[in-house]
Parts: sequence; C-alpha cells; structure tokens
Amino acid sequence: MAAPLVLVVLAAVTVRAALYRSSLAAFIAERVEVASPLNAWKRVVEGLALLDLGVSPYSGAIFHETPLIIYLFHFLIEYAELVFMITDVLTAVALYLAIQDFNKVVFKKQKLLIELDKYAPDVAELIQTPMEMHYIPLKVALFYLLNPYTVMSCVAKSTCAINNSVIAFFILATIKGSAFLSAVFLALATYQSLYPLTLFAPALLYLLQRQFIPIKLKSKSFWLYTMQYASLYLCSLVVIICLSFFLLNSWDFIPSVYGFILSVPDLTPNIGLFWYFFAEMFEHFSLFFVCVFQINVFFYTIPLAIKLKEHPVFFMFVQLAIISIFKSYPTVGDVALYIAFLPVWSHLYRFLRNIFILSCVLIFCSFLFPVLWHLWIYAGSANSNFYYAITLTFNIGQILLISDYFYAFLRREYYLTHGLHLTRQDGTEAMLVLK
Amino acid sequence: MITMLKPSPGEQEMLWAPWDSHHRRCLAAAAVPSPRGGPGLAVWELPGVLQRRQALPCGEQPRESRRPRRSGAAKSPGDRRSPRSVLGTARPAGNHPNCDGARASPAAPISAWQKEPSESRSSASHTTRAGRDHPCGSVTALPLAPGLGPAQAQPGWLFSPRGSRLAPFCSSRDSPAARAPTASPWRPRKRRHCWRGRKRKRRGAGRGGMAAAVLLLLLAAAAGPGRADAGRERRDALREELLLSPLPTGDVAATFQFRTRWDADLQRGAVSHYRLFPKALGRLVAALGVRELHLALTQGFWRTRYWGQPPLQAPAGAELWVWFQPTVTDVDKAWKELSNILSGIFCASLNFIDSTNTVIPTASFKPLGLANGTDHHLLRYAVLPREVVCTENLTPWKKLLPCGSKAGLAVLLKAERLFHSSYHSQAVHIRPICRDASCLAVSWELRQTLTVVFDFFSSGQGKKDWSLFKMFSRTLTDTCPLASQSKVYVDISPKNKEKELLEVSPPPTSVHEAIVQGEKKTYAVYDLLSPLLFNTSRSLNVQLKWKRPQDSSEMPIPTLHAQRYVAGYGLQTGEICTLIYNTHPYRAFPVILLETVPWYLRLYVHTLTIITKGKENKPSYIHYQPAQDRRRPHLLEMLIQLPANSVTKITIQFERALLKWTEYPPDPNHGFYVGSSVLSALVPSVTAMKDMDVEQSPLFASLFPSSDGSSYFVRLYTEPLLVNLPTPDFSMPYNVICLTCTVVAVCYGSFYNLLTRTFHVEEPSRGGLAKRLANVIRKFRGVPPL
Repeated sequence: MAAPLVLVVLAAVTVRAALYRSSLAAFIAERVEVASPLNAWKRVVEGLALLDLGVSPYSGAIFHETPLIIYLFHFLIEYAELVFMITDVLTAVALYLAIQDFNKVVFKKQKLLIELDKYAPDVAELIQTPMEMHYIPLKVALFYLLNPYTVMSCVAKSTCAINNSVIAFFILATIKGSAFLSAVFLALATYQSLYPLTLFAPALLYLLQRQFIPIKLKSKSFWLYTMQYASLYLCSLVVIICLSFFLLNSWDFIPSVYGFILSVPDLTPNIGLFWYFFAEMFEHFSLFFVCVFQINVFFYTIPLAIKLKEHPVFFMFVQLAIISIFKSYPTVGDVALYIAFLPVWSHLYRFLRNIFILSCVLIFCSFLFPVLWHLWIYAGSANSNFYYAITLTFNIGQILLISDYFYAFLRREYYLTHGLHLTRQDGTEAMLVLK
Repeated sequence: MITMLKPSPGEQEMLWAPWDSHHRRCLAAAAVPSPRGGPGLAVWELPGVLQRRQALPCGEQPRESRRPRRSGAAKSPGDRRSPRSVLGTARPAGNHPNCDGARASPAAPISAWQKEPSESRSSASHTTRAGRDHPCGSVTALPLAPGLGPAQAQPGWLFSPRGSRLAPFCSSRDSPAARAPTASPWRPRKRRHCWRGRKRKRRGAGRGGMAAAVLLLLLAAAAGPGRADAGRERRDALREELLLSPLPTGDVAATFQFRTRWDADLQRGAVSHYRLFPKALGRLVAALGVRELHLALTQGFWRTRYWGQPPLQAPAGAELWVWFQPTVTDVDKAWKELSNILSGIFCASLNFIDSTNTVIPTASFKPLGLANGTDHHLLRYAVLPREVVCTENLTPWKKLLPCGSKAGLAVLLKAERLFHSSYHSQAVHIRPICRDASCLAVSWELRQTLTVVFDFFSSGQGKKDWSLFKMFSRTLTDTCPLASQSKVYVDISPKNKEKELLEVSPPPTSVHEAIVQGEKKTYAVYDLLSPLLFNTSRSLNVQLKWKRPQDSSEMPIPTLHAQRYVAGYGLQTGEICTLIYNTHPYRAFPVILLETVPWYLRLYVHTLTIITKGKENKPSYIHYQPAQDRRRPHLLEMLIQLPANSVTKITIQFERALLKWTEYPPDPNHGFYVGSSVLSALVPSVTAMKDMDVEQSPLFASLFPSSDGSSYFVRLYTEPLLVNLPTPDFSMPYNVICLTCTVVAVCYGSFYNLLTRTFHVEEPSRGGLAKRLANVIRKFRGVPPL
C-alpha cells in the first residue's frame, strides 16, 4: 500500500520541481486566483524585507501573515520551494493516514450496524465493501497532490499550503483520537486563518463518538469532555498568540491579520464573493454587509452539527467547503483541500443529481478565470463584470456541488435505514421527496 | 523605521546636519521660547561678547508687570555699545544667506540699512490710515528718495538695529490696555513701549528737551526727503526682483521675487499691526505655531534637462511643507487646520491634504530658516499633483503683495499672459531669519516667488528675441513706493566662449557677475529705483535681441538631472523607474531621494533595485514607511551615492489596487497622479565659487543655503506620474448587490432545505385545483380521470 503512495509523491514532487524551474512559475505566482493578499508569497518576502529594514511588517498594509510564518521563513527563505513541496507531501500523507483510519472506523461501524440489524434488508448494494474502500486513501492523496489547484498553489508558494497542512494534521489527530494534538492543530489553524474555528464542532463530535460519550445536553460526561477539549483548544490558542507576541513584542499582528480577514479592506480580485461586492457597495451599508457575509462561514455550523452529529467527518468536509466558499480571501488552494475529500464520498456517486454539469462548470470556470482576467486587465476589451461573472459561476458551482453531496449523503442514510426499494401504500414504487 | 547601513561621515552630515555650516551657526543663537512661555534667548555656542548680550530680562520679569521690558533691556551692557561695534564683533556669524541681516563686512550693516530708504520714507508721513493692510494707495504721493548716501546716516538710526532687535521681546507682554491710539498708527503701540526707555533718556535734559527734539526733527527733514524718520528703527522692508533668463531651448524664464522682511516676532502673538507683511499669513503663523511654511502652486513641468536648473523648483500641482514650532502639541491637527486655511487664502484645493497624502520626511526637507533642531516630527509635507493652477490662485497671491498689482514689478503679472505659457509656478515661503549678524532676535521673511516660462521659439516664427512687452503685454512704468529695492536682472551670460551674441536694450544700469548654482552668470541689472532709468522714457521695456541665430547644437547639461516613468503594462502590476544622471566629469556626490506613493499603488520594497554602471548601488540610508490602506501613503527616502558621470536607475515594483467605487474620481480612466519624487543634493560645482556677495546677486541664492565654495544645494523634482488603476463597473452597484446576494441565497436556500427537511416517501395527493378541474371535464367527456 505504501508503494503507490510513494509513486504518487514522487510524481507530485517531479511536477512541482519542473514547474519551479519553468517560466510558468512567475506567471502562476502572479495569478490572483492562486495568491490572495493574505497568502501571496510576494507579500511574505515583502514582510521579511521590511523586517530587515527595521520596519514592523505590520505597520503597512502589505503583510498579513502571522508572526510564526515570518519566523518560519526567516530561517527557511532559502529553501522555500523545498518547504512548500514538503508541506504538500505532508498534507497528502496526513490525509492518507487519516482516511485510512477513518475507513476502518466506517467499516467497523457498518459491521456493527449490520450485526445489530439497523439497516434495511435490501441495502446490500449500498454497503461499502473493503474492496472499494481499499484505494480511497490513495485516491485522496492523489487528489490532493496532483490536483492542478494544489500544484499551482504550491508553485506560487502560497502559504495556503501551510494552512492546508495544519488542517490536515488536525484531521489526522482528530481521527486518530488524540484530543490534545487535535486541539493544538486546530488552534494553529485558527491562528493561521481564523475560519477553521468552525471545525471545532465536528472535531468535538468525532472525539465524543470515539470516546462513546453520548451527545446529550443533559449528560454530564458530554459537558465534561466538551469543556476539556475547549480548554485545551483555548489554552493552545492563547499560548500560540502569546508566543507570537513575544516574537515581535507587539500586538500589531492582531488587527493586521484578523482585522484584515474580517473587515476586508483589500479588494484585489479573487475567486471569492467579497471583492466585487464591497467594491460596489454603498459606503454606509458596508459594515452591515461585511457582517452578513462573514457570518455565512459560522452560520451553518450549528445546524450542520445537529443534522450530522452522527457523521462528523462528513460535517468536517461540508464545513471546509463552506469556509472555502465564504472566506474573505479564498484561493484555489482552499478549494483543493475539500476536493481531496471527494474520493471518500465516492459511494455517494449514485445519488448525486448533477455532478456532470457541476464538474463541467468548475473546470470551465477554472479555464475562464485567466482568460477573462487577461481580457479585463491586459487587453482592456472586457471589464470587471466579466471576471466577476466567472467568480459568481464558480461559486454557484461550488455551492451546488456541496449541497448535492449533502443531499446524496442524507438520501443514502435514508435508504440505509428504510430500504432501497421504497413502495407506496398501494404497492407501487415510491418517489423520495424532501418535506 | 530607519536603517542606517553605513553612511560615510560626509553622508551622515548630509542626513542629520543642516545643509550648511553657516546655518548651524545661526542655529546656535536662535531664539527659543523659555520654559515658562515667556520670550527668552538661548545662546550656547557664541563668543563671550554675545553671551553677555543674552541677558535680556524680559522673560524673567513677573507676568503681572505691564512695564515695558525695554527699559530693562536697555540697561544690559551690550546695549550701550554702538551698533557698529556690536555688528563688528558679531561678525563670526558670517554673511550667511539665512542670517540675512548679517551682512558681510563691518561696513556692510550700514550699506544694508542704507539700501532701504523707502521704509523710512513711508513711515514718515502716515498719520491716519491705521489698520490697513494695504498701504499702497496712501504713499503714492511720497517723493522718491533714492540713494541715501553714507553721509546721510543719522545718529538716530544708528540705534535702530538694536532697537528693532529687542522690540519683539518687549512687545510680547504688550497689554491691551496699552494699545491706546497713538500719534502714528503706523508705529505699533508695542514699539512705543520699547521706546519709552530711550525716550526717557533723551528727555533727560528736561521737558524743554521737547523743543530740541522738534528742532532736531526739522533739521533732519531739511537734510533730505525721507530722512525725517530715519531715526526710527527699521521694521519691515520689501524688495522686489525680476530675473529674466533666456533658456537654452529658446524659451524665456521670468522669475519674480517679492521679499518682505519684518523685524517682529510673529510667534509671540502680540503683533496686531501689520504693514507690509500680509496680515492673513502673519496671523496664521502666530496662531498655528508655524515655524516655516513653503507653499508652491505649479502648472506644467520644469524640464531640467533642457532648461537647466531653475532658480526655485517646484513639483507639478500643489506642494506644501511646513515646520511647526516645538510648542505645537498636536501637529496633525495644526497641519489640517493650516491646510484648510491656506486653501481658503489661495483658493486652492489644499483642503484635500489629509493623512493619505501627508508624509513626514526624515532627511529631505530641512528648515531653510532659523531653527533649533531638526526633529522631523514637526515637519509635514504634502503634494497634490492633480491640482490645476490658474487665475483664481494668482489673484489672492497678488493681493498679498504690498502694492498689489498696481505698481512695481507686479504690474507685469497679468493672468492672461502668465497662464499662456509652458510653465507657471507661484510660491510663498515664510521663514524666520536672523535679524542681524548676532542673531539674537528673529525676523520673519516672506518670499513670494513666481516663475513663468514663455515659449518664444515656436510662437515667434523661430526668432528667440523677446521683450517685456511681448511677454507680459505690459511694460514697467513706475516702482512700488513701498519697495526698498526693485531690480530687473537679465541673464546675459555668454553660452559659449565666443563673443556675445545678444544685445539688451535699453542699456542696463549696471552689469553684475555672480556664480549661481555652479555656473558663472552675467546679469544686466536695471535698478528701478535709480533716477536715471526713467529719465529717458516713461516706461521700461527690456528687450533682448540675438545678433545672429544661436547654434543650439551645444546645450549645457545640468550636473544633476533626473527622469521618472512607469514601466510595465496591464493594470495588475507596474514598476516605477527613476533615472538620476550625474554628469559631473570627475566628482561623485550623494543625493537624497524622497518618493511618496499613494497607498493604492502597493509598493514592494523588496523589489527595489538601484543600479549604477551595471552594478548594484547600495543606498547608505533607507527610510521606508509602508502605506496603510486609506490612511497613509508610502514614503521612501534613500541616500544614494552617484558616481561621477553616471546614470543611476532605481526601480521598484508596485501592484495596483482595486478601489471602492466611491473612491474613484469622476474621471477614473484618466488615471491617478503620483506626486513627483524629490531629489536633494549638494552638487559639486564645476566652477569654483567665491564667497559672493549674496545681497548683490539676484534673488534666490539666498533661500537655499550654500555650504561652501565647492558645492551648491539643488532640489529637483521629477515628473509626476499618471497611473491607471483597474476600475469596477460604475453602473453596476445594484446589479452586483443583487447578484451576489442571490448566490448567497442559493447557498442558504439549499442548505436550509437539506437541514430542516427530511426525506419522505411521496404520497399520492388529491391534486391541486387545476387537476380537479381537469378531472371534472374529463368526467364529462367520458375519459378516465388523471
């Protein structure tokens, strides 16, 4: 099993190394889809240059990385390409291990439920077989490492790769059941980009499930464990933030990183929904709409937690997708992370309604981004609306894709308990509807 | 904020010391407010003879004492000295341009005082017209009194320099009660206080001495017109000058300078009577704690490469830089207030100066006048490159002149001609200067300058001949009676070694040679106050004719010139390139480059490259302040060493930001201006410069200091840049809001559906109204129902 993974890693490293040496690297690094103001490599270098000049990197509006990133690259700037390749490989390996473990859990759970006769009798074809599940971890690693989005992100040296890596390790720690490491990595991820805060809920659910603690609001052990995990998380967050404070000896990074993420002052175009909306917003509604748009990331967490409390990993996947759609400076690197999870849900394929159209939309949009950017910025024959239209389409595509997966997941769950061949009262074949 | 890599001692001096040595000497003796807020003097480097004279008791006296301090001051030992000896001993302070009162030789003070006949003239006869800012009309009847010879020196005025020097210290405590109407409204009440001591001394002979005084006065009047009041101290003086210089390209540059000097201390706030100095500016200086103010409004761009060094450079648009007093606590507030007030005074959009275009340079702008230190936090600098300068700015500027545009050189300032030119720049400079050589008191100087470049080569059918009338459609007819000096200089320096090619008419009163900005210049001087000039004709129309067409193949290239442009294409990124040329054949010199870039061009300082002769040139000093969105511009200051005969290319990359749609100007696709970058340098002179007589050479030598004979100060401004930014579609706000919100709603809707609903097996329904209706019809038709 390890040999194919090594092959995939080798292929991925070769592709990246080749791209680093090609003239495409500079072109890719400039792409707004790949490098946002938050994680562009150019800005990291600028921050280091400012530090060298004796200017606080946070005194300007260019640098928005966290202090730990500065210190990481302060020592590793010479090996940046290597760092990014290793990060990608580590992410893929972490995901591989996590999914491998998750598959075992799924298999055990499935077996238990069959033994307990919880499934309907005619759902044999819905049950995931070990045969099917065997290649899923490899596919996940493959999807992550050879996804063009990840490759471009890595070639552009977007620090998004580091965030992804932290999140992948968080997922690994969670699935392995280590509450401490999970809390630490979640704190790191939150510290890096704030939005992974919402992953607290699925991680907690998963750990509770693993500890066989029933999720009941009246149960004492539930609250005890929740408090334990939350305090672990908060403590590590405080430690990390204090560490950053002691590294730079100032709190300047708080407004410059988190204020920048939340208030969206930089309207450089990207693949998200924020930039054009706030470029065109009326000044006195601006604050209101910033709140409305930011709340979208956090808004779905609690309803999802209630609906998917039995399936925290799927919850994590949906939440990652929501983050990548609604974060203020999204890049294709964020999209790549949740796309890597798609093989895990390959058993939902038969219930997806419009996967073909949606994948076409996403692929065509990916090609149209640079084309319309060129028409607007360089050729001058198009205007900003063209690029905006394509971001809208891309986001609609993502939203529909996620809701399609969500729908398929719920539907499969229904079939598992109610049987695949539903009949009406009069004995004819029934349709399944949402009510 | 500041990186000092490794400047050489010379460079350190350039950065942290005032531009010149004389300046420093002046600093030493600058007047500073005493801690208690009262006036006082600080002298800490001067010879003993001056040390003694610092003991001015004004500041020491208790606040409630309304007694004039002059009496106390008069008792100080130094005061008893004759002014000549005082000035003589104070000579070490040198003949520095900034210490304008400090004339070169022991004899110089006298000749200097003699040069201002008109102030005594005018103050003699004004009796009733109190409180007017514009004394022009009242003095037209006065006889001209040119040429007060040394023999006419009165004992009375010999006291005056000191009297005037001490005056402000007394005036500061001037009580409102003391401001009773006086015999001469032109003489401020405070001065009477100051003079009381002296008068008392004179009255020492007894009350009958009054008659003697009247007699003395009569005698003095008999000695010659204008001398009646010669015993009065000198208070303020106006000197006006016009420099006409043919430029190498065939254009003609005309530079006016009106210099008002006032021996009063505006800062103390007790000055309420204004004569020549414009009240609006004087009160501004007093109220806002301004130490130095430099405002320039410019239309067009001075092409240094082709026109040579201008006497006074200014960037395109509006430039304002101000040094505030150390007593000002909230400099930003004062700056905001100042720019708004100036905006009103000059009808310019200076009110658009805010934090997004204000910077605090650390090394480029040093005080040009008297200063105690160069704590750059008291400095504010802003440029509005988009500002369009026109008549509405010229009119208020002219109104500040004592004679307005009614008499004197200002007659030539006719808006329709001035703005029909290649370049127009008007400026106001206010600064404190040393009152005299000892530099124990402060005078205030207001310079109003105006530079205009006319293009005669293209409009004059290839002829480069010009005359005053052709340029301004006016000629000079009379002088401003308030001016103590009124001169027209014509630059007739031979461009090459051959014999003169040009001819000026009428014949000049004198010819003056000087070295200005490293070049030997010959000027034909027309002294408008000289009676000879208007004897032959009623008006002066200076004309210049070229004897034979000048071969313009050989154009002198200035030692330091620069060029700047934006490189790159597209609306995403770009690069600002600055080329700095040092054409000096064998000497390298450092230059300070100041770059102010608005926040919406995001500079990446790590892309900064400085290349000279193919090698990287490391700046010895960099000060970089990154921009903050919508709050602060980028500021980049560097000290770069320019090797001899070299071109230095400085490039820095930037990224163009997308702004909010309300942040774009009405013509967003015109582009955004980036202000000129500023080059300050001490340029080594090719010609050895002698210590020249600053008073004699025209104008400008005295605003910027020159450190020694071997180099001269140059401030250059590069081209402003016009940069396009990506624009959103301005017609789209509603559409964008609707469409984006729709996408969010799609997400919300589908998730809401999936989260709140559950799957159910579809049950057969009875159908809607339409179905039931259809079934009724079907029943009639006899077909099975749906």
